[in-house]
Formats: sequence, structure tokens, C-alpha cells
Amino acid sequence: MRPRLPRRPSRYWFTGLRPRLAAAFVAVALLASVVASGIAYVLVRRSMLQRAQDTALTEVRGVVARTVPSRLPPDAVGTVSGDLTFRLTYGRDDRRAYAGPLALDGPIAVPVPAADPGSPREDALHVPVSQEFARRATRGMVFQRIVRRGKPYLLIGAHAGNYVTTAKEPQRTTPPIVFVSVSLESEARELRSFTRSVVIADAAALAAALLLALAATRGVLRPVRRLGRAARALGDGDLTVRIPERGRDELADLARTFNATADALERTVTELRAMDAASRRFVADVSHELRTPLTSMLAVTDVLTENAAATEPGGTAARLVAAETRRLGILVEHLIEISRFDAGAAALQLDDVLVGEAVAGTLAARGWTGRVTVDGPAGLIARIDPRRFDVVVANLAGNALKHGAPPVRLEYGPAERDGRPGFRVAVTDHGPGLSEDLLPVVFDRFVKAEAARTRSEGSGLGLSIARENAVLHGGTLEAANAPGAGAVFTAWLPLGPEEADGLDGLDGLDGSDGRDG
Amino acid sequence: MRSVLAAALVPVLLATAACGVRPTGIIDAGSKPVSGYRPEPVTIYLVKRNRLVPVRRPGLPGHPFLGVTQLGVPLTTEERNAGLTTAIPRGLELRLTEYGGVPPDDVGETTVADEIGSTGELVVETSSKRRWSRLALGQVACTAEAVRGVRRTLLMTDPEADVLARKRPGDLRLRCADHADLR
Repeated sequence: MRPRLPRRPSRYWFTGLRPRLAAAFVAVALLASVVASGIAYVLVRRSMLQRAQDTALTEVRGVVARTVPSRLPPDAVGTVSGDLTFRLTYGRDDRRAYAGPLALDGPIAVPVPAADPGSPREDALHVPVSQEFARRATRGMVFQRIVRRGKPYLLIGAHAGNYVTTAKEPQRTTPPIVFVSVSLESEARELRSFTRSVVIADAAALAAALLLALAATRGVLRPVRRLGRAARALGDGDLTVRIPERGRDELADLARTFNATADALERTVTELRAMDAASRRFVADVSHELRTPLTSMLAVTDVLTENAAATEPGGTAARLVAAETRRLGILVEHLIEISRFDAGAAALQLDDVLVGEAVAGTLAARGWTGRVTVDGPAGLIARIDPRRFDVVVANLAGNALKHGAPPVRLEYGPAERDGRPGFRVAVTDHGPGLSEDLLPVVFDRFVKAEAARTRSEGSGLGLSIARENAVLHGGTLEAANAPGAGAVFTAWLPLGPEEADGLDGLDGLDGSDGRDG
Repeated sequence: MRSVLAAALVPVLLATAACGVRPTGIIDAGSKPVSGYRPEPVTIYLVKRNRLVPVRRPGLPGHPFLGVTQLGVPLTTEERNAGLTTAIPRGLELRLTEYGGVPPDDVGETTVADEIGSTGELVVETSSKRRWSRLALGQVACTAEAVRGVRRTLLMTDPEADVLARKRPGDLRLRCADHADLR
């Protein structure tokens, strides 16, 4: 029997090539889109904030330069501060400004920030000003982005430079220090909407990548599936299967290799089959050619035996020649029989047969009636080929009598197998049984129990022919060793041919309670 | 496959972690803003040996009447060293209002004057009820008239009372020419 090929699982959901390829595709697409959009995001954010900062810084610088002259009148800081805050915040809701006197020594006075930076009614700065920031603002323009309560603000510090003070009272003519806080909420809002767009675009790219991946893997895997189907068909014995060799890729190369392999396999198998058939035909031809001269020889040796019976030594030789010739005849008959099986020329001549009678007839014809104990229901009827059944029974019984030891026991009875009604015939002897190495090959041709005795009486084909006969019926023939006894040969035959097994089988089971023997 | 997923997740996490406007440290944005111009100086009248003397002080852009308010601040050290004094009462704040030709009786709300109205009259408010010396009045009148467009000055020493009582006992109409003897 050919070993059964493993079935293909219907789907490889997580380990198959398709999900893996698709996952790789999607991962690459995700990576690419995230990296690209991340870079775009960073660039956009940088330029957006840069623009906002530059605008605010330029305006603050311009307003301070326009408002604060290089030389101030005494005690005019308040007036200048008012001008500065007015001009820095005029028409700008997102800006708040503070301008105040700059202490020339000691800590710089910084404005108190608004309690709620989000309230539009507040005039104070959105964010607090650190002493460090104020100190650096006296040396040059500085800015800082600060997040307060989750909202971003730009803080700018400036102090007019290149001014002239009076030597004795510099405090009265020092220009004020300026702090401006700008809400970056509109930029943050723009960034959020940009992020939303980017996320949507990335999701769309991912979906497209997934579709593309599925389409691509489908294209890649279709030839693989076709190849798998073809390989399975080849394994199941269909040597003519081929697959189309489209494309110029590795899979097409694989298909070409597969086709070449299948070609070679088909050629080899065809050659082997042809050789096998030729050798079988040769055996059949030889057997047929041998039969005619052997028939003549048998007739001649019989005459010779009768004539030589008078003298003792000559009689022995003649009997020996006659026996060997008869054996040769049996061998040739067996060879012809088995070559018929090989050629598929064997046919069943079915008839309704009482199994008990058929068995008794077989034993009686061979003169074994007393030597074999028969046990079985008398009324068992089977639709079988009586001649072939006779061959089976004769072979089993003869084998037991020749190679086993008495008592030989033959049992038959109805037996169902795989739901099919049938009957079995078991022959048990009390000999040594079959050796372990002989058991698996006992039905092979020219296998003999006593290998050394090449001149044994059997042809070595009897059990093979018996088995071929059983198989022809759709039955089986098996050999085993019975515990406490010798070899057991069991033949199982269906009660009738497969298409009409039901009713015939019921008839045969009727007599199962009546036993004889 | 797991490593591929991890490689894909890392930038996602990084991107989400670095979203929005990030705070920064203190960043320098160039040198100090420098004004490239000097506004017109203002002329104020101080007192030197009981005479009115014009003195120049730096002006401010957009504040043409700065001189009048500058009369209220103390003298600088340089001015004192030059022997200059002021007759304006100490601790006095001068506010400028402009009513654009409307009679002073109807002034209900005052605004800071940045330009002179068609009448050419500058209204100076002060909360001080102390006696103003003639020198001080001359300082105010001549400083105001040093500004282009001002022809006379109205000094309201008690503006609150004036408005409510509709009487103007504290109003003083001043002209620099009336104090020519002090120059």
C-alpha cells in the first residue's frame, strides 16, 4: 500500500506565508509612513514655530526700537512703559506685554503672571518670568517656550540698548525692561489638525499596503498552491500531471524543475512497467511453451514407470523421473495461473455455493477427509467462484498437512468485516508455526518454509495463488501463529459481490446456529 | 514578526511622545533692540534768579506736551548744579486734558491729550489747591506755549469740584505773554 499523503490544512492563519508576507508588507508601510510623516511633522512644526517666534521677536524688537529713544527724559519710564505695552498688544488678543523699571542693582522686578492664563480679561502675562530670564533679557533679546496648564506660550524678553543716561542719576533715565508673552495656541491647534491629517493619511496608506500585500501574496502563492496540488497528484500516482511554467521568476523555475522531475519519473515508471510486463509475458510464454512437451513427457514417464516396475532399481529411477515431471507440470500450471493474475486475465465464475459442502468436496477430492477436522454451520451459503474457493481451501489444508503437525483443524463461519457481510475459513495446525521472519513474506512467490530444501514438494506459488484468488473475490488471506498451536491461515471472503451483498449475506447467516463436526 | 512589529512601534511611540509644542530653555535672539533716532527735544521753563529760563530735555515720540508734565518731576542733578530751580509745588502731578472747543463747564470726562484742539488751548489739571506763585504759573504758561500750536493754557486746580458744582473758582487762564516781565 502506498503511504497516505498528509492532507493540506485548510488555512495557515498565523503561520502561513500569506499572513507573514502581509504583516511584513504592512510593517514596512507603517515604518515608512511613520518615518516620513514624523520627519514632515518635525519640519512643519519647526518652521511653524520658527515663523511665529520670528514674527513676534521682530515686532517686539521694532516696537521697542521705535518707542524707546536713545535718550530718555527723567522719570518718564512710566510714560514709556505705557506706550510700550499699548503698542505691543494693540490689536493682538494673543499677546500680553509688561514694561517696567529696571533696577540697576539687586533683583529685577518681574511681573506677576495671570492667575488664569486662558482668561481673555487678564492683562497680566500668561506665564511667570524667572529671574534668570530677566537677567539674560538685560543682555540681549531672549525668548523661551513655556507650557503652562497644558498650553504653550512664547515668552520674549527685551531691553533697549545703546541708550544714554545721566551720570549722577542713571536710574531716572534707564529705559524699562519689556516682557511679552504670546499664546502659541493657534500653532498648537494647527499642529493638532496636521497630526490628524497625517494619522488619517497613514491609516489610508496602511490600508492600501494591506490590500496590495494581499494581492501580491495572492499572486505569489497561487503558483505555490498549484505546485502543491500537482505534487500531491503526483504522489497519488497521477504521473501525467504538469503545471504551467509562466513567468521568469524563481517559482517558474521551480515549476520547470517539477515538470522535468515528473517527466523523468513518468519515463522511468513507464519503462519499469514495460519491463515488468515483458518479464511477466516472458514467464507466461515460457510456461505455455513448456506445457505441451511436459504433457507428452508425463504420458511417457507413466509408461516408463509401468514398464520398469518389474526391476527394482529401474523402477525407483523411473518413479523418481515421473514424480519430478509431475512436479514440473504442477509448477508450470501454477506459473500459468499466476501469470493470468498478473495479466489481469483472471475472472470469477460466481455461483451460489454451500460453504460446508464445498469444503468437504475439496478435502474428499484430495483424500484428506479424515485428516482434517471441519467445524462450521451447515447452511452457510456464499456467492463465490467454486473452483477458486477450492484452490484456496486446498492450498490452506494441504499446506497445514505438509508443513504443520496434526491435528489440523478447519473452521468456517460468517464474519462481518468493515460492515460487509462475509465468511471466514481458518485452518489451524499444531506444528511449530511460522518463524518471525517468514510471517511477513509467507505469501510472496517462491517463499518456502524450509529454504534449504529446494527440492521440497511445493512449487512455492501455492499460497500466492490462494491469496490472489481471495483478493479476486474482494477478500483477504492472512497468516498468523495461534497461541498454544501452530500456524493459523485465515481466509475471509465476502458473501457475495459488492453490488449485491445485502440480500445474499442474509441468506448465508440463516444456518449459523446449526453446527456439525 | 515580533521584532518587525517592535521596529514599527518604536517610531510610532516616539512620534506620539514628541507631539505638540515642546517647551524650551532660554534662547538668545540677538542683540538688544536699538533705536536709531533722537526725538525732538522739549523745552521747559525753569527758574534762575527769579527769572524764567528755557531748558531743553529729551523728548518722547508721540508726546508733544511732554514738557508740561516734565515740569512736575524733580530737577536733574545737572540742572540743579547749573543753579536752576522750579517754582512748581513739590509732589505735584500735572495731567493734560483736551476738550476740543467744548466749554469747560461741560467737561465730564477727561482724556489724555496727545494733540492740541482747534482752539489752541491746553488744559492742565492738577489736584493741588495750594497757592501757585506767579513764577510757577509763568513756567506752566511759557512751557505750554513752547509747544507748537498752543496759544493759551487753562489750569484747573480743582477739576473734581468744578465738574460737580459747575463753578470754576480754581480755573486760571494763562498766557506766556502775561509773564513777559519774568523772562
